Amino acid sequence: MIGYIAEQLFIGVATGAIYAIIAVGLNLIFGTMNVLNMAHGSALMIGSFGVLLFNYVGDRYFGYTNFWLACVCGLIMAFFTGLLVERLAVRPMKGNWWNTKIATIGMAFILENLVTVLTEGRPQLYPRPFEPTYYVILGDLDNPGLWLVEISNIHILLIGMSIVMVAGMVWFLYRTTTGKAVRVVSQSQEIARCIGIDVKRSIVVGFGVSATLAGVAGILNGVTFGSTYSFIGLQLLLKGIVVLIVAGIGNMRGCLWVGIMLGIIESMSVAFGESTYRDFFSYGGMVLILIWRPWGIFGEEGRVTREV
Amino acid sequence: MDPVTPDFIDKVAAWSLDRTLQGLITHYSTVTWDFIFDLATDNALYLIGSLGLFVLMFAGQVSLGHGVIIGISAYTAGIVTVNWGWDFYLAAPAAAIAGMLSGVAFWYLLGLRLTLFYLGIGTFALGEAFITLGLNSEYIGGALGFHGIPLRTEWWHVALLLLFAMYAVWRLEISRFGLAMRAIRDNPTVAGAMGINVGTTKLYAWMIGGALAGTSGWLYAHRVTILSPPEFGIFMAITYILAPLIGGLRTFWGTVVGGIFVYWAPWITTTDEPQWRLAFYGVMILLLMIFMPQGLFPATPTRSKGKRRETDAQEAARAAE
Repeated sequence: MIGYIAEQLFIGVATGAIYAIIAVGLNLIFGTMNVLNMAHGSALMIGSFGVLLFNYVGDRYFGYTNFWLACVCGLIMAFFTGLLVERLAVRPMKGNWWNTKIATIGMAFILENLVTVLTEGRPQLYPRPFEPTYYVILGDLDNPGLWLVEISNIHILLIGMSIVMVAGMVWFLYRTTTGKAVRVVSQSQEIARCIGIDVKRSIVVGFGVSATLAGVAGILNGVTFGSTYSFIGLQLLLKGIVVLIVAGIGNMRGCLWVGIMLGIIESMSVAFGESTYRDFFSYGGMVLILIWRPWGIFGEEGRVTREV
Repeated sequence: MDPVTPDFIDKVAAWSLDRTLQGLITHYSTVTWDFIFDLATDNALYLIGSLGLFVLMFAGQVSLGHGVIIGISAYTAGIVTVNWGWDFYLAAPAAAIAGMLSGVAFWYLLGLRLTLFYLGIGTFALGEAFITLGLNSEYIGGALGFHGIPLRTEWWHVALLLLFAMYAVWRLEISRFGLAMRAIRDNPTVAGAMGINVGTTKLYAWMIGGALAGTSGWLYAHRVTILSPPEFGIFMAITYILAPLIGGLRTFWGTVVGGIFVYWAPWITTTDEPQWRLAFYGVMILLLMIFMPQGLFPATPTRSKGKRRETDAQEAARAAE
């Protein structure tokens, strides 16, 4: 029993890590542009399908496949998806919040349905970087009693990746010049322009980085579940929005904690036989937190009153 | 390890223009007048609900849980007719009151406290929570759906109700109360300072919007005859909110025109594969937002002398500064 709960806990932390990566990407866009990017899920989906594409191309034309090389190619595709969304759905809207949101929904419609047409809506098998093996941390495998605790290397990869991603995001935003420029743009575009920051470039960089993060989440999701399908982005995007709102806009570390918390809540509700109420706990909890603190657990209060 | 072969690449290689065009021709040749009439009735039913959403958005409220309000009232209509044996017409006030009460619940929990983006996300989350509850309650059939609602909705029910809704919203829009709602949408603080009771006006907007959605849910239940909770989720909410947004928020005519666009635009581009339709739909939305930022039915011209005019939000932002 203890082992079962511990395993569910690991699974929860691992899926929560995916939510956290998605929320960090959304957070970056919301911070810089005050735009909820509904096409974030499409970048995720493109990144995840890019790996499949390059694996296939490599196999057919070069007789050589490498998962990590395909990953890099998939991330590049996700990056360019982000640029495409920025160019077609965000820049022409000139900062009109509602129109941008609708246009990004339109963008998501286009991308996800095109991929659905190509895949006929069927889930696709996903390659694995290594065969999943389980390591025993506690207890004896030959004599599995109450205390057997195992962890899979895939879950270790997930948790490690999400910590690296969030740390990288914090480093990018607080230590590099480009990241600092992105943060200034998020505070005020006028002031950024006054002190000589290229606002357009900062926004493009923000979208590219965020879409790449989404691609990472898509690949990790594919690796964990062993398959992917064309509407995977929407499903995960909604969870990412929950994490973003609960954590508070503009807080990267908060996203990590809340994402992992959400993953644990979900896996625990599955573990204790309430799997049909899984979404009720996550969405209901989010409503309660919105009522209690609309600016999120880790957010700053001024953000909400600023009229998004 | 073995590489995974995605079959979508073969699909791209096998694509041909001839076949796609052939699909389009086949599609158009199978369309009948009955089908178009049915679709028009569905469209009118949808317009009643989106007029309810227009009233909300006219008062500056955003709802991504509108599908759930319609769902709650549709289920109410189904329960009172099937389980309690009420008459079809008696179910109408029941559904309207259910819609109104759920509107009040949304107002009390979220509309009072949150604005714009946060309100949208909050209503979405509350709606999803309701859907999960619906999936888990045995009484209304759970995930298997609610069956056996009699097919009673005729086209003239829908037409009469749509005319009534349009008349009501038109009168509402030009009334003193409508002006109060418009003032709240433009700036709640200033509206409060002018002596408008912001909270009560929002409450009335939620009640009216909920009641309109409720009556459309009544007809929906008796037209579709099978209800299941997930169909009232975020997809339905997005479909409903597209009508006022595409049409423009200045007048309810925008919602009507936008709603007609939302319903008919995808069907024009259908081929044998329904997913193409949604992709084309996305292209249309994108083009519309780029070239007509004020919506299909703007009260002021979109461009004057080659210069793009400011949109509502930008005007409001300038006024606030």
